[in-house]
Amino acid sequence: MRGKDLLEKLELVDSEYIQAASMPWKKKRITSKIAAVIFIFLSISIIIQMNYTNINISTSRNTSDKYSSLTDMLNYLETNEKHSDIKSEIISVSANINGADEMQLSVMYKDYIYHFNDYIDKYSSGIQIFSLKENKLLKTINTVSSQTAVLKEFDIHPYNYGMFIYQDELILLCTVGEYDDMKTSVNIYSLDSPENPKIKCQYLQSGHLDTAFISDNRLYLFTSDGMCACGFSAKSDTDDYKPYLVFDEKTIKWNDNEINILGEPQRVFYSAVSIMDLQKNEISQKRAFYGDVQEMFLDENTISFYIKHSFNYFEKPSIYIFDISDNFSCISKININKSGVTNILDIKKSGDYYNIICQHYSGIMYYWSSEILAVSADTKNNTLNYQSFKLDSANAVTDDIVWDDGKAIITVSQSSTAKFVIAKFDNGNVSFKNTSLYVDRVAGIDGHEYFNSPFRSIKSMIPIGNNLYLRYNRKPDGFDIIDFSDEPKYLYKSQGEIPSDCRFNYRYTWYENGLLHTVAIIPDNSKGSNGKTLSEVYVYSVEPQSTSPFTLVKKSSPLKRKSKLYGIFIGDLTVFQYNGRQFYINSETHSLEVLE
Amino acid sequence: MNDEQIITLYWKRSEKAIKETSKKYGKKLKAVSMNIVQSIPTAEECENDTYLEAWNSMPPHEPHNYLFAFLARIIRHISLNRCKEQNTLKRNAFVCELSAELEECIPSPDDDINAKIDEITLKNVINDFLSSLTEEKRRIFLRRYWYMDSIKDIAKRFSISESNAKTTLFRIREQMKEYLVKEGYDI
Repeated sequence: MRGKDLLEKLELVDSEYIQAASMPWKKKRITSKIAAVIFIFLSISIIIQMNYTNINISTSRNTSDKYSSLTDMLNYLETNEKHSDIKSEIISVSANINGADEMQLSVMYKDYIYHFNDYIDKYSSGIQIFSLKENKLLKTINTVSSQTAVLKEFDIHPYNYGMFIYQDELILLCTVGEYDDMKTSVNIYSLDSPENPKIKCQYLQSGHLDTAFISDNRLYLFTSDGMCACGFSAKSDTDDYKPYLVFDEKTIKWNDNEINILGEPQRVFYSAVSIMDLQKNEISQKRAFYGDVQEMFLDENTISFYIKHSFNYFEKPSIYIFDISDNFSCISKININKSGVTNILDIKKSGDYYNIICQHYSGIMYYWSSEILAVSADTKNNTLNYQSFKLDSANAVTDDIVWDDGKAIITVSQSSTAKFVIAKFDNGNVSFKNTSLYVDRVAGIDGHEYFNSPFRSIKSMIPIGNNLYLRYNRKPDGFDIIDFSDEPKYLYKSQGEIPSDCRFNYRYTWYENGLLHTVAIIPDNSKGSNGKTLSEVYVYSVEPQSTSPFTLVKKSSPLKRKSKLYGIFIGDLTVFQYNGRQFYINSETHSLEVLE
Repeated sequence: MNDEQIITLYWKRSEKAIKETSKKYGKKLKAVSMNIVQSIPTAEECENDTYLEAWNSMPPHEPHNYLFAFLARIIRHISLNRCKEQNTLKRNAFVCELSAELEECIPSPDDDINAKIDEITLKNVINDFLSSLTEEKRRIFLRRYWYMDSIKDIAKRFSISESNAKTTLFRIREQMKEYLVKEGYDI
């Protein structure tokens, strides 16, 4: 080997090292005296605060102690904004709304399927109408050309989209616009003639589409956006910093009393919520929440915001809970002040209680420890209880959380395996149960944002009744069925028969004839050509409650046909039941395929 | 737009993927290429070739946590090949300089690369050696021989003098040679 060969072969260096070397180097050379002083100072500060825990709950209509109005906030941020190049980002949403209709990528109405395709060809996107009777694509409506003057400017592909069927109407939502000027478009089509949907109503709301749902004849739309307030780029008018809404070509302003500032935002970033009365065909309520929103949790009639500055890891998190049914009044604010670093992982409403799971890190230098914190807040009486559960290692990671029947099943991972910790909530009381069952990790599933998909964050554990849970493992084995009725134990554990690159379609898991079926997509990279990757769709079926050994009952069947799909994207696959048969849309060939 | 979203656009075969990649990493990638080819038009060609290669590689690749490294590796490879094809490129002299420096690390320089060591072994050797270095030394080594920065740029980036940068690199090369001998790799 010569030097030039070694120079070329350095391309074999690990990506981690290459990525790290591309980052700016922070000089660490400080004199030992300064280091000693800093060390002593930090040690004293940390020792003083070591046992500091103050988790409290309060009720206040005023959600910010620092800013009395949006103008007040903008005046401060003009010179103090924590500037970030990323202005507009999608907020993670955890939605848990009983009885609400969720967005779909494809919807069925009578004998038709409506599928929104964002890549019909290089230049256009549109609604494809399939006939289930004739089993074929009938027509495509180009959404750009069919829009009125309000939307004509957005002659580009949408980024994030979803659909609903409401009574005899088709509702299409999508984020459109340029990178720094995102808008969410809502188009409502009449389906009086199902083959020829006619546009009935349109509106635009600023920001990315975060989520939407229909409940009680009302469409709830959540978007988010951000702007720069610092220096000369500051806009002249406060109204320019408010969200906007154009409903049937009429601009509806956001009034000052429709704005809440959460805590002390360090940049201009908001979540805008509008509620459309679908029967009266009007916007009945709207509200904008400005803050350093990390995540949004939705339950029936309430919306909770997890607030923590993105710029300060040690910032203490807060949760603001609002009552949607009471004109977005603030129900409670929960502060989690605990020395160290606290991240809120999940929130679940249970009656008047809000049950919260956090992961907390504390320590000094190399001696850090981690714990799970479970908080149960009674918003009616403004009281709360909490318990903590110390983890074996500070490196332990919470892979996934599933809520069921007064408990949160938390999977805590360390290196290649994970085990379960159960937090039990009983009328405001909190307790933990440790378990000893080790399972495969689910990295890449939970918390993974499926961009362009209304499904967004997908849980890796699904309750399937009688304390049984289906748990998907991306690698190496596929899925397991675990019984949590007492000490967790496997009822079914896949044994490597499922390819490691298999991806499950989590929405399609169903019981039939005593078998549990689940749909999987297996990419076949060997067949890829011209940048396209083909996939095969399988239905795996297992018998979850018979005596051991549990084996895979069927593989690929009842799919006799291995259908090829364009791209491998979990959200792409929507299965429809029609006349006892199951259909899905092949987005490569734009055709209806039958699962049989 | 974060890396995850950009990768998803590639997987969705959305041409916006390239626009977003260019927006986020275009300048950095061009800088990697410029260090090697020293010509703006050539660096731009390499950058465009990189996007095409990324488009053809995703899917099946999913470089979730290392999109920049993934792209940088492509552009480095393309730029070095461009250097080979166009011997007239003035930067070739710099590549020769770096090659000569690296040759100091090799216990027994030999023209027959494949006969001595396979790629997997070489990968392990290089990465094991790098993991044995301190963070600062590892970055200095990679800035010089991976990103092909000049001594001046390295000195500026790490806030050290040029002579200090040269000495550090010399010591790393010595360390690498010792490491290879100690590990018994007959290169």
